[in-house]
Amino acid sequence: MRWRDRMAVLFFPPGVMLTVAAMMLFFIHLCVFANDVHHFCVTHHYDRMSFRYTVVLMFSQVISICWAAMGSLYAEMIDVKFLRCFSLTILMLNGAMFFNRLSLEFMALQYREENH
Amino acid sequence: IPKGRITGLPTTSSGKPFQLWALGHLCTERHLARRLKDNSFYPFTQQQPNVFVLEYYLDTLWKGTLLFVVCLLFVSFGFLSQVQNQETWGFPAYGVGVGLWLMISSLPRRRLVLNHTRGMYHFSIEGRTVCQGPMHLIYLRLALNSDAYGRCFFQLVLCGHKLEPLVLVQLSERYEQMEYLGRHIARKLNINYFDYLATSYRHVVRHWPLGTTFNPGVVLRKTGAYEKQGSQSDLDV
Repeated sequence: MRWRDRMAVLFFPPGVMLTVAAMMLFFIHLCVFANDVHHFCVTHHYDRMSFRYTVVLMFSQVISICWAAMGSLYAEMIDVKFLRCFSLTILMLNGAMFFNRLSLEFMALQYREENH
Repeated sequence: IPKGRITGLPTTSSGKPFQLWALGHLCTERHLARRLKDNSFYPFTQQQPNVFVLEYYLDTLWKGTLLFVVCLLFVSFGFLSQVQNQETWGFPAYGVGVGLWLMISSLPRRRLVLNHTRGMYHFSIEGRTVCQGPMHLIYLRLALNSDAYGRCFFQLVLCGHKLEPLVLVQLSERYEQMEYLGRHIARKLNINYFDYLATSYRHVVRHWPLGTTFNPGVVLRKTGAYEKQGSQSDLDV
């Protein structure tokens, strides 16, 4: 199988591409989350956290959860056990990332709240 | 609605690859009937007797291109790049990415060949074979959608194993005409036709999987479709 055959198979969209795209987004979100945690806990440069991108980040996390869900739906129809496990793992990782992010934001809100 | 027996001239040239791009409100059963009057093997073209060829581009090509261009304009001119101290240029950047992906993934030309002399279908993208299989895996079906008021809308879809579903008629309310057209196309192309219900007396099964002689719940309509090519009685209910 030459690389062009691989490309042709890759261009055919039966849901595996959705899982792969969700995985890419998950890695981006992981990088952003690690950066935030680092600035929140270690360096205490709170202005370098990603608060100005909250709307876009929420949007992209929801999108990536949707893509992962679609991909796992497609993978359920294919009888390949590896694909099913992979797509379900990606789905769960995306969900966990969403809730981690949410809890971090609430922690930051609580921290920055002014108490007199 | 055309008459049942259209004897179109066999054409040798491959059809227009953009013919499946009709918009939803234009893509009605009347449109399909007009197309069938021009080419009785629509959407395929007959290359040799018993060999039908369909070459097409996916309609996500123009949708993806439109999304890509619009989002690129948004990004480059900086509309909506900041709303209430929130950086929002990420949304059009998403649009650019998704549009580019849709465009690239639907740029290769698809080719579907129904070869009745060998009893196989062959689906390839840009000359690379994606799937090749027996003829019973490809079928024309009526799909049901119903809205909140309980009205039923029917779609005529060409489906198959490892194939992108090709919608021939978007959402129409006229069941009888759709069924007539679906059976007509399926008879012309000599493929299976399925009703919108899972168990129905209106399925027309012309190709069975090898080794099935008895299927519980399904009444055997017709076996040996290749032997009875000349018979025109498939439209009987």
